[in-house]
Amino acid sequence: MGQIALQTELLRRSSPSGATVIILVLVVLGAIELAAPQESHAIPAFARKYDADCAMCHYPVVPRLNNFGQMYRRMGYRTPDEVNKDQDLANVSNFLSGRIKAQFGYENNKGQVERTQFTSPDVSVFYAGAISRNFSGWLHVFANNSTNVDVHGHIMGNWGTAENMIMVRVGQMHMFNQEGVGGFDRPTGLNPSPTQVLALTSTSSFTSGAASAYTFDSRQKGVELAYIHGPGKLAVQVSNGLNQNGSGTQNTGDIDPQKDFLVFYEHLLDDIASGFTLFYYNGTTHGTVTTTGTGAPTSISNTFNYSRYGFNISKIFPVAGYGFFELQGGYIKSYDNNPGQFGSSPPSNVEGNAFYVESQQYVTGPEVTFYERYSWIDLDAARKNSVRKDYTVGVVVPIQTRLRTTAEYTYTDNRFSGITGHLALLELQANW
Amino acid sequence: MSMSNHSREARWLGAISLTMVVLGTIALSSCSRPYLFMRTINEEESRYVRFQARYGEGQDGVALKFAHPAALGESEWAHLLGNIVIQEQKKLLVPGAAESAPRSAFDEDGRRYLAKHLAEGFQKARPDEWVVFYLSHPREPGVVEIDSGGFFIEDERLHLIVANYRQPVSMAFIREQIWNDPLRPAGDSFYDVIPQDHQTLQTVRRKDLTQSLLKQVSDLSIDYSAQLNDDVSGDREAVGSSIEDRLRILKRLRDRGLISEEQFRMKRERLLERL
Repeated sequence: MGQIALQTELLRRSSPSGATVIILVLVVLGAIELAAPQESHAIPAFARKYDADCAMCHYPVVPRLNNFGQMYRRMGYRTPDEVNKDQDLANVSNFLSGRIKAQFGYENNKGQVERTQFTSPDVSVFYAGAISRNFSGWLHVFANNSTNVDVHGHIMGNWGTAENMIMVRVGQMHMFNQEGVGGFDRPTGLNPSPTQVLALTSTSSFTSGAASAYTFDSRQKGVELAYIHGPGKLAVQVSNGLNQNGSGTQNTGDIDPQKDFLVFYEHLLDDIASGFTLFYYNGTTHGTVTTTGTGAPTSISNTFNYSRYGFNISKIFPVAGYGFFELQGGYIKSYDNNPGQFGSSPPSNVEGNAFYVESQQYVTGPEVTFYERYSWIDLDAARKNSVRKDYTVGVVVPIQTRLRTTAEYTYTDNRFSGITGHLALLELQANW
Repeated sequence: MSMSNHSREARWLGAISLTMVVLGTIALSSCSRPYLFMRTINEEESRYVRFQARYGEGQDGVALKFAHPAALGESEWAHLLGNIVIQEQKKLLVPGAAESAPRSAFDEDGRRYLAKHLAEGFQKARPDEWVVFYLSHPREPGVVEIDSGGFFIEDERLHLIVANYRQPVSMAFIREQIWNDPLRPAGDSFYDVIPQDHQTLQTVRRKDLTQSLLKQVSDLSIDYSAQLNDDVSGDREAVGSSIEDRLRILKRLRDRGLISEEQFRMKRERLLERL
């Protein structure tokens, strides 16, 4: 160990500093990117199918969707002209796409060892599209940075017209985060708001694992029934519950007979991507619950109920001659109904609060998007000064065709865990 | 936290801040746009032909000296436009699929409209003015397809830059962007211009059009005098040629998209009746 430490120290002394390397990499890449901006494709199969540039479905950059892209997805990956029409499945090019992300990250948390690393957070294959007059399928196979390989997907049915339709989805899927509007769509930057991907209530004040670790970003197994009328969508979802981590290999877990329910209404406000979402989630589970738990419930007495409700909204404003300015934000109220048998004495409920605000600036011409976000999460821990705050800034630039790069920096001040630190990421993403 | 940790953190924060500032500065510096001066030749709700003078970015402060005005009649423009051929790019993962056939870039209505107003425009164009066009076609609810680009004459050659061809657009601000500057590509191209006789195709860097140092546009250069002469002599040949020759010419006209399939069949039947 001593020898390795010495070599590391010598390496550190004899090499340019990490900061210098990152500056050079970012500046060079940034200069190249900005000199050669072009759009990239999120699902290139669809772009190929319609001979369309990505801007037909995306704003400001892939994978975030504009109004037309949202409607295309709602209609089961169909344009208005294709609704209720048979589909030609012979052309594989119209369905098959690939995506690779490569990241370089720097992390420096207070009290921990400073780190840099190359990672590959996502290598994906998509096979998706409308497959018959009323049905469509979405299949996503991806390997993440570890050895984990996930497979998930859904079957979707649509009946009605482009303006008025009933939609049903069943499978394992993003429930409404990354499928919604007004900030619940796929993020412009590298990560959605922490309020959407992190647990929003404290678990430390209860028996281990008792409090809900539900996050909006879970890909759950379930079914969705929706009514779509023009720009509005009213949906009800029923799912197994919180303890699906997205792995398509899991077949046990929160399989108690009391399912989780999500009701939401989302509305598109313009032809770009402005919109809002109102939602209410109610979950019930039994037994030990964690985000990755796979054990079957052994008792129905350990009933645990939780709910989440709130709103998200985004509004995009044109700035004459330069581009667009967007304001986005959301609030989530979390409520965990802690059962006596799990709780401390006396049992107490948990009421978490979380919100975020974000702004984005899309500059036409170089097609660059800047974004800044502040998020605030109060887990309602049984102690003072336990709020988590995240400050994020980033820039996204499409490079030539089918590539995008993103540089993102986040400062986290997490008083709940006691971890405070910096995270800088540079990502190159290819879609074809 | 030790002093060394403090200084390392400060260095990283400095690095990240600097990076953001550099990226921002580069981004904003590349925002400079040319000054556009437009005059309308004809404008309808979904299409127009205009004069456009471009100054500033990419022009090095020197006014362009095109060979304008130029006297080309409407029928001559119709001939020239009919000889502009495009082909859809080959798609991936389509084994055994037939390659799309080359076809005339402009349909009959578009040709007629452009021929009329290009003839009018080039007779009045100043030496620093492009003659630009914008044609919008409804595709489906919420989407239009846009053709846009511009012509100029230089050194006895007619140049055409097609900035957008059958570009599907769903957002109003992109429609406005192309409407306001039809020479600026709004996205990827899915069609290639196929040069014909007396035409050459070059890919050129035009930062004044693309606002990018590396992105290229296709510049179709046409020896229009030679092409018009060829077509005239071709027509003369056709008048006095055999039925077999006439059928061949008829087929060529159909393949180039100058006549419709129905017109082709009708003419062919008439010719065959003479046998």
